[in-house]
Amino acid sequence: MIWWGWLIVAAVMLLALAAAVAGVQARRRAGTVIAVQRGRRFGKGFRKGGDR
Amino acid sequence: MNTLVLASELTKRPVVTLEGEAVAQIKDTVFDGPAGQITGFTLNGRGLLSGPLKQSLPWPAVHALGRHAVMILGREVLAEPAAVVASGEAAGGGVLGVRVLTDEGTDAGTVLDVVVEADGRVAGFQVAAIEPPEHRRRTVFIPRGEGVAVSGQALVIPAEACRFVADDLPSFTAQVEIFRTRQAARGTGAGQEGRERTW
Repeated sequence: MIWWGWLIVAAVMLLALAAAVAGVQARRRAGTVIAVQRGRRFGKGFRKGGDR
Repeated sequence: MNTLVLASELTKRPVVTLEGEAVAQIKDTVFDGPAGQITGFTLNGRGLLSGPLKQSLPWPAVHALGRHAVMILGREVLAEPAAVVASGEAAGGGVLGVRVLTDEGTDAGTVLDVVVEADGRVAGFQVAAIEPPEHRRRTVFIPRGEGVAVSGQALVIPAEACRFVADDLPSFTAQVEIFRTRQAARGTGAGQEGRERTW
């Protein structure tokens, strides 16, 4: 292989590594604040045992 | 009252066991809107190449919410993600940037951050407020009232809470105390003078 062929191989490998790191960082998205509603899973007015 | 901290400041805070092992770092803060209590945290791994963990940290497993780290007894207290937040809830429950409405139908601005206490209670919200009558924008802290409703679209707070705003966290501590005393007094029917101020 001509000498600059190795340069191309190295560049492709670097690109693959950068893409992998970028993918991981994307999955590590910035944190946020999430609101959930515990104890209201059945909606307002629900009574255990049924509404009578 | 406990020290107040912004939920955004908890992000990336390391989760450390009492043996001194850093096992994760905080990603999302999850809280129960109606109860006004943190239910737990989602986690990222430690290190540049580690992604989100398939484990979460339920609030009861937190030993201490410190200034520089979240302390836990050991790695075994970490739970499956659904113990803190289901995937559907995570997708639609984001609070930052949602509109703040009072129960009287007034637009109070948008949520910038959530203020929490070291014991896990939600003390209030940092809001990009719209000041009447000129509709100037200003950052204020508003205490969380009882019966606050929150979804991915809007945060509904009692209109009375807007009379106890503060410009910074130190003064917000006092305003929250006054607001809670006021609400407790209202519950018992007693009158209570507070240091009311609105924007």
